[in-house]
Amino acid sequence: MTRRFGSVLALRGVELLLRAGEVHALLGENGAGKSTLMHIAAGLIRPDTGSIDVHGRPTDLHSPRDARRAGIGMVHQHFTTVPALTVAENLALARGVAPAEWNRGAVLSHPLIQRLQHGLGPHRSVESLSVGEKQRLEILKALVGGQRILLLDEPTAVLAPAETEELIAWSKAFAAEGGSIVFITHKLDEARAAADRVTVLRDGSVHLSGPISDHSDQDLASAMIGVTEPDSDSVICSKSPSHRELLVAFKNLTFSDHRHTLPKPDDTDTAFHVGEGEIVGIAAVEGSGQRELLHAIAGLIAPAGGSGELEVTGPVALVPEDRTTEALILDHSLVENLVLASGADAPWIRSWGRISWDEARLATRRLLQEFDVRAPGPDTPARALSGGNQQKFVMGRALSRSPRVLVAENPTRGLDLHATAAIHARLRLAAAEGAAVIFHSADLDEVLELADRIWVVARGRVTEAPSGDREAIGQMMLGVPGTRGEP
Amino acid sequence: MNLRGALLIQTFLTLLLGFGVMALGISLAGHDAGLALGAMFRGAFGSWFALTSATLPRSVPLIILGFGFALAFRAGALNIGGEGQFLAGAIAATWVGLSAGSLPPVVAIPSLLGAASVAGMLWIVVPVWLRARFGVLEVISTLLLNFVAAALVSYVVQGPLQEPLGIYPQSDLIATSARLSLLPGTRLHGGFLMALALAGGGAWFFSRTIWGFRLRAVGDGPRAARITGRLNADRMSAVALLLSGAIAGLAGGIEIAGVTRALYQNLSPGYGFTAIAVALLARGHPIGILGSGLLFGALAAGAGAMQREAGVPAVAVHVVEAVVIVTVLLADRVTRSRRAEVSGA
Repeated sequence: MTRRFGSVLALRGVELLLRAGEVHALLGENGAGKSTLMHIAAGLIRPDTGSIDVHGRPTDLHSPRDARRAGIGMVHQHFTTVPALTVAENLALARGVAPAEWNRGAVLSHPLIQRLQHGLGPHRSVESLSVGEKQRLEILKALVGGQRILLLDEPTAVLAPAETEELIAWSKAFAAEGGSIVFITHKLDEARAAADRVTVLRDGSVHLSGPISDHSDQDLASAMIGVTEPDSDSVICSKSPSHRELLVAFKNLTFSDHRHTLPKPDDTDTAFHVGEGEIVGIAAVEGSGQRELLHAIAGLIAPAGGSGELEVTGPVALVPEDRTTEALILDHSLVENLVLASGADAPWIRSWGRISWDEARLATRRLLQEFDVRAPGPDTPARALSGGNQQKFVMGRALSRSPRVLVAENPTRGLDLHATAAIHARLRLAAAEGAAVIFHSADLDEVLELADRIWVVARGRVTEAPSGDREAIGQMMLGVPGTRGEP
Repeated sequence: MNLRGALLIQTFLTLLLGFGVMALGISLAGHDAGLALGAMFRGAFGSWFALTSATLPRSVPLIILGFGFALAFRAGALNIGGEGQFLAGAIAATWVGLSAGSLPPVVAIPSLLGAASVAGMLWIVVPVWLRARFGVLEVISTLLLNFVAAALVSYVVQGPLQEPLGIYPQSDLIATSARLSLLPGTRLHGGFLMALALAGGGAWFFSRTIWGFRLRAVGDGPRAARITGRLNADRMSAVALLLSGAIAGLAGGIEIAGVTRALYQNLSPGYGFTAIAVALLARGHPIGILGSGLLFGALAAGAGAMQREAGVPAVAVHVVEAVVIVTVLLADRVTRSRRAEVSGA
């Protein structure tokens, strides 16, 4: 299988054999070609050369519909349900039948399918579903046509640990009944827990393939990233704790906007602080209120009705969650994206609001150099950069204003290991230079690795995690009864 | 390929397609397309008179209205109500112009143009408020107000502003001191200089000032403008729409003071709509609007000559307009999805 995008060879001579009754892990860094390969199997794009055999027969997949007919269902990395419709309507849409016939046929009565449906009332609107429930609905959608081959593209990226375990258990049960699953991930432990066999892609070629038990974690990791790198040294903060100034302090905050009453990030009387040189990691499942908290600290939103207390010693810089729509205007050049983030006091703003583009270009060039952003120059559109370089630019832009407080949401989402390491080093360096760093990551391991202290936000409540125990934090994130996250 | 070069080529091909389709239609209808196009060219550029009294005066409202549309367009809002705001401005200008007899030109002309701008802005206040308060699409509300404005013109020229004898549905001529003029012996008027200034100033505003930059940011990336740029995107679009309305009103005032000198029904042959094609063809760039405004002005001027000399109905030129709008929107769409595929890889 070979597929080219413009001048980029996304896949070269890739072969993947999926057996009936197995979970097959597809490992690889971002950009390795995993999604491209799966999109070909799902009929979304066509290979330049190569072929697909389903049940031993050569099959031409011109469209997702062809793939569904051939028994292949795909769950994408991003949700593809229609939020305004109900569960039943979404399923009917996926089957191509009238809404009233959504549960036609025997497919839905199968015990494994029923297990997915747990708690998903057909008349609930998709907007009201939790992230885990939406994920199950996505899988249901992929299987309602009786498909027995399931492609899961990074299904655990949005799930909490307990939900991930349940998904893995379900996947094994599905395979035990003769179904086949391709499980895309870049987490080795998940691959090991879920899969029988594994294929590792790197730069569009297969670098390892076979039963997963035959290969050590080191084997898999080196197949994924090439060389095994030594750990980069973490920077130690030079200031002793007693000299640290508190830069962020809050308690009792609540938030609301026009449409929804948002979760209350903190309704206890406990006060929370972040000092100079500290890195606080926020562990939370999506939509728990961490975004509101971070945006309030960054000064983007105000607490509702004068509630609570929030004190921030600025300047504050924000690395927003979504690189492509919140942090950058992709069609604008890098220099324009720098000017976008700058206030009216930037050195390139002259009297009467005139912009000195030459000055701004100079600053952009310095930024590209200092933060090792691979880009032809300041006039390159942001779109032309790779995800890692875009994020390095965003990070550099935030840090070039010498913030005292740095707020970051999912700063390494979608980045490969090299870029992730570069971003981590920058966050550590910012803290070492005296900034208070507060970040949230959907990846709990990243929070554990990077943070000096961890806050858990669950259902709008902030709790300081007593220790770095992964299990305990995972339970607090889900607000499991008996832990401190439960109201 | 260089982006600017690609856009120029795209623009040229768009126009070629537009004229091609029009020529084809003319031939299919049994006319001589070569004769028609020749008559059109002569009517627009064939003589000093054609240029200064037909083409340029028709370009003025198109350039100014096109710039008004572009101002909102680049801030992510669609003001389809330029026609209505133009008429509102024309009514206000006529009212001021009729009562300005005793004032010197330095007072009369600015008051007339100021009143026209304010009237144009007022005509878009309700759509802006509806959008901010209830999320009503400004595309629809501004469009509908065009019909209201046309009806209002009909009413005032048969009522409050009708000429004293009360016979014709039109106003009296405005006071001499409130009229715009420029080149004696031609119909070219001072509004042309204002159109040039507006295009030049607009280009400077968008590319060199932080305000113009922020408007573009709100239009090109509203979420990034809000979160990274800390801009109030809703408020900026509202301001852009109000300014857009004021500029359209100004165009109406200039038309009264410079060309018609009186208000009557069907004052505008659809300038407000043609201006959308003008702005889209230029992708909202003020200097481009100058060029496309001149082109469409020439088209309007040539249409009359084509009808007289070749017997082809003048409305045939609307084909060019339609093809331009459809092609630009389509090309935009294709570029976008191609970009999405590249970044999706």
